[in-house]
Amino acid sequence: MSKGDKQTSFVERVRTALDDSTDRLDRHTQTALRAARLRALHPERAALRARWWMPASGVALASAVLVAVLLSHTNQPVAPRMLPGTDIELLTSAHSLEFYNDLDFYQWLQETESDAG
Amino acid sequence: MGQLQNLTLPGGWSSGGMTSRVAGYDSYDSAALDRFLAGVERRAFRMAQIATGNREEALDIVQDAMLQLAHRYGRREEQEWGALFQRILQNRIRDWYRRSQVRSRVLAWFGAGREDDDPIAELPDERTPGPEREHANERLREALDAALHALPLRQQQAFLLRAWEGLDVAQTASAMGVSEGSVKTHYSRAVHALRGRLEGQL
Repeated sequence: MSKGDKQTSFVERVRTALDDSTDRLDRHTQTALRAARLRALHPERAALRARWWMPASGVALASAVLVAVLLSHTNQPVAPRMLPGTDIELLTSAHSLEFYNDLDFYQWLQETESDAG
Repeated sequence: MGQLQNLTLPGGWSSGGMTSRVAGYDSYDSAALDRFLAGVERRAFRMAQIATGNREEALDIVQDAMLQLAHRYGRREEQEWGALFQRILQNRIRDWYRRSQVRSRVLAWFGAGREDDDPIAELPDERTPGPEREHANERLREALDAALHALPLRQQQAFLLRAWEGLDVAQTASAMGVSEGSVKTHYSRAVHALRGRLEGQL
């Protein structure tokens, strides 16, 4: 076998090994690649998901809280009861839950600005 | 948003499939682009993984390349996508490499080196208990990845594009942004280095 043939043969074996490695990609990686491809082709859907995720998660959590409140009173007739005003505000607010987690900070900021004014 | 049309679009684009039109993105045949990307994504990932030695970095690079191809060149002729995608991918890999080098220098200056310089250690361990042959094949793949990763980036790129992607010298030069003479030199050195490391194993 000539030197050139040996080199060609070697390169061919490397190519085969690389092809084999590609065929054997784990399922997790294949899924991630598919997701990447879909994001590239439909970025508007990824943007929509990002915009709706926080309010949607807030609504989901609020719903779960409401269900938990209703179910906690199992000995009473199943009828919605009036929630305290602050609870209703929390459930219906457009703000994210992080806003309420940081409420102390925003109140402090408001007070500070009032003192300065 | 995507919409199914039955029109002939400007530029001769077929509209038999879904088209995608969003703010900042020109319309293109997303079905055709989807087929193209599905056909190249695995090799692109492996190239990026060999270069970076890291699965997550490789996925990010491939994602970026796909996005850029769709965003900037989705309206180009379909036969141009291959060359364009390779150009974008290799640029992304080179960008990552440069950032990695800067990061390493900064960390070294602060006295914090890489804890593990073995790129193979960062690859997921796909070994599963099984036949002896499967284990041997896995060892071979690891050795191949290590040998390719050890190449200087330009040699690595030249070799993978010529030997694996099957690009000719001119196409490889275009993808790498170098001269044809450089491609030949890098490729020759890469083959020599790889044979030195792998000849007895492959």
